[in-house]
Amino acid sequence: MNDTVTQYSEQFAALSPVFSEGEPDWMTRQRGAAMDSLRQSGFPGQRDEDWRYMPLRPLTARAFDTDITGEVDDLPLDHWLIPGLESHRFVFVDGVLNDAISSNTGLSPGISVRSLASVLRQGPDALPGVSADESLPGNGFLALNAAFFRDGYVVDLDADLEADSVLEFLFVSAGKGKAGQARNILRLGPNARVKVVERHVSLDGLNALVNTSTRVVLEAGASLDYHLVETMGRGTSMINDVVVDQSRDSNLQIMTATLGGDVVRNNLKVRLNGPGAHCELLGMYAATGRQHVDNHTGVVHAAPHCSSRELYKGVLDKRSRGVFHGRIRVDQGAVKTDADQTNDNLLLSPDAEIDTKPQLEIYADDVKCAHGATVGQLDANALFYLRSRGIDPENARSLLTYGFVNDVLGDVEVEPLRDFLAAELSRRLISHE
Amino acid sequence: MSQTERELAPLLQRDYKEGFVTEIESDTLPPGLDEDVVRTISGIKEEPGWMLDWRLDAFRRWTAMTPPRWAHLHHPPIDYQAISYYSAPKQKELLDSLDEVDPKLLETYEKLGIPIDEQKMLAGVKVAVDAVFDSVSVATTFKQTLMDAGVIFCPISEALQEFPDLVRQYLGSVVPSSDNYYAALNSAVFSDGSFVYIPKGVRCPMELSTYFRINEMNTGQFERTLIVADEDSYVSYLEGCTAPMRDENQLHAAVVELVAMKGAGIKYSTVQNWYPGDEHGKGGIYNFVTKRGACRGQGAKISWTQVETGSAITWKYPSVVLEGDDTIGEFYSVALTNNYQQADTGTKMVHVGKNSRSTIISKGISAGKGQNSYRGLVKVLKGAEGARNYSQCDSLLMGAECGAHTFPYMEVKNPSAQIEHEATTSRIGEDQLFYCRQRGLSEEDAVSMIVNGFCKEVFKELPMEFAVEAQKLLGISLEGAVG
Repeated sequence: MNDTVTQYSEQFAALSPVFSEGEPDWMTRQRGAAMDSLRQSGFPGQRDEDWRYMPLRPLTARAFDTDITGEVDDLPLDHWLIPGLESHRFVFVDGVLNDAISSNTGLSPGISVRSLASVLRQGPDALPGVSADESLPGNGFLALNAAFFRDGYVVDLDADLEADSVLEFLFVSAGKGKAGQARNILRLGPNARVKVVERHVSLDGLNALVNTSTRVVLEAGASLDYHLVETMGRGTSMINDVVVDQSRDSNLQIMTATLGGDVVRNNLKVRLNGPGAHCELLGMYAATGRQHVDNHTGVVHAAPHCSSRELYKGVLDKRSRGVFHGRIRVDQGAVKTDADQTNDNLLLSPDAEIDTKPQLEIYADDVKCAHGATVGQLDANALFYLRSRGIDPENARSLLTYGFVNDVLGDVEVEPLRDFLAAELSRRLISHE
Repeated sequence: MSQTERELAPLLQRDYKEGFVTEIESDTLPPGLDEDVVRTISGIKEEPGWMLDWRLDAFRRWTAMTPPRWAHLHHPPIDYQAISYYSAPKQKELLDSLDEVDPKLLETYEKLGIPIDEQKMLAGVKVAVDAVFDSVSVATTFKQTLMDAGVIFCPISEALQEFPDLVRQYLGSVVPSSDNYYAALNSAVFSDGSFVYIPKGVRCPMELSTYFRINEMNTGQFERTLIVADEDSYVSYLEGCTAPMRDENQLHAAVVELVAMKGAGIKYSTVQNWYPGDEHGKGGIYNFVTKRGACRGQGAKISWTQVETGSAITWKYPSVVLEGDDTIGEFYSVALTNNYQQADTGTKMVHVGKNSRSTIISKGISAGKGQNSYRGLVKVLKGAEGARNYSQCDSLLMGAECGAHTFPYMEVKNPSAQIEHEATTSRIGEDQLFYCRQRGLSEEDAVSMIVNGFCKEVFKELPMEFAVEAQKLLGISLEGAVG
């Protein structure tokens, strides 16, 4: 057990009474099992194949403070809002729902959005799926989350319900040196449809960790449009773990936009469990300074006649580093699978680096699978063309970079969000702020 | 199972015609590995003292290492103490000419179709052969013709005695003894292999070839090949391998090092046909091979072509380190897995020099319960201005129980680099087959035609005789494997 794990172990001992107050026994047991697994296996290191490109020291060299109150005074909330986005907004501070600053009234009947902390206190049978789950967390960060999480959102949509407005979850890191750890559950009944925008923001210089774990379940014919927007300030690092299970004929579009934070790791796993399910994984990452963005995606085709499409585009400037690791697995019997995966990268500076690992693992023969990856720089001819028409180099670069990520941005259906992302991109990257 | 599959299933059982055993007396060390075994091997070979030290150093490093686990391969752990590390056919005296080689050995190579009798070779098809039987080289042909051109082509054990300085300068300079688990093992116990030196400005007058044969039971083969092409020289080198059919698994852990100086070119072709095991996955060779070339000077070029049809397990990544400016690395591969065969193979292209270019074409074919993985790394270092890579990995699946996997790694630290990777996976379509059959081709011919078309880009890189052999091999291995 290393020093960091020992520190967490001590924090866990101190916080246990707080956790167990009002929580059902099974949850106390799950927390204990997660802590044991962390004590035993520790955090991943660069020798682990799945973490080899990741600078783990900033995340594991010391323990973050897990004693969260969720209370805060004076947050510049307006500064973080997306102009023109009409939504039911739920604000979480360091991973704990803050009702006072949320604007969540008037939800249509059939949509339920609750705080996980309150659901757990409703009684032992409030979360049947979760209480029965005895599997151990897959890595040290998930174990940390499972042991220490305080809150998160629990969204349930009734069958055939089509939500009329966007659900927005705004996660704000506010405490210095804190680890905000939310655990979220998103469940769509048969043929339900909803658009979700989940955002992560923070002030500069907090030295904080965001360690989130989200489980998504789409029942037959459900359709989810899910956006993860990560625009944390300098000094905040993040591990964002999302696992999706899709039933037959369900439809998922998930877009991960990483623009801020120091070291950001997105783990996204989608399991296509029923025939006819379709998923679309979109990603855009733009990093500068010394940022590190690590995207790990896994699509498992476990049933026949499913399709998946994956498009990740990255722009790396200054001394930043990007990692893309995409895995498609086609199980035995998952015939008529159509899977496609693309990762394109733009290196803008001689010190930037990209490591990309698209992978196919195929155990069925009647399938159509393809993947591709490219790395390059801005086309000198295109730059020259723009400059010869009187556009200065900065703007020419900006135009071409925007054009490069537009393939991904263009697929974002929530218009104010699309404009927001385009503006953020140019603010952070192109104007060299 | 589709109808075609059912009709052709019986045809899938092919014979491994190289699976015979040669009855020959041999000197074999008892199984087991410790420092004394390393000393004994070095002693038998009458090696210089520095070589023994080098081996012992490698052995000590090996004992501190653990086998790599990252490959997509499954096999029981290998008991390194159950293997004999040296086996040589008994020889009465040192040989002066080929006539004195044991007729049983000559017979073996004749049966395998390897020409080690210079007179009997057809005019016009000149290939110099070094024949390695278990742990030793038994014959090398055309030595004199090559010597006249200034080319050194001899067993590495001989080179260690006759050209020790040359060997010492390059041995381990591309694959250091601590490179990986199997390379360290090889460095400690390698018994023979070939050494080639092509002097400045010489184009090797004929193709060179080494033929590896495992015969003895419970032995491992650990050969070491070192090829040095000095400035502006060129050589084309072929390698072939077979082994008898046995129920237990045998280990083959080779190291191949290539050094190409300024303007030099090395073309290295392999047709690997070790015994793959039977249709129930019993027996077969475990093939753990480290192959790497270094393009040391400006404009050097190294090209690997491999056709991998044999072995129960293949773990092999022929690589090129593009150190000089304007250097070129190429990798062309066809890997076939049938029955229970597993292959984890690919390449590494490390771009160090400016404007270095590399091409990777990999074709994987899986049939039966075979698992076929491509694993490749393209690494562009910071100074590799204008580096260019193109990779294409295609997989063909035949049968519902096989697997095809692609694990490419791309690490790019220079913004002017252009890297492209493409991969596709599909099976032979019923419509393609139907089209061919409609035009009067038999099912088998149609499959063979489609597969050969799939592999064409690789086969065209092989020297003539090898290309023919490779096509035949693929034909036999795949008969009827249509899904």
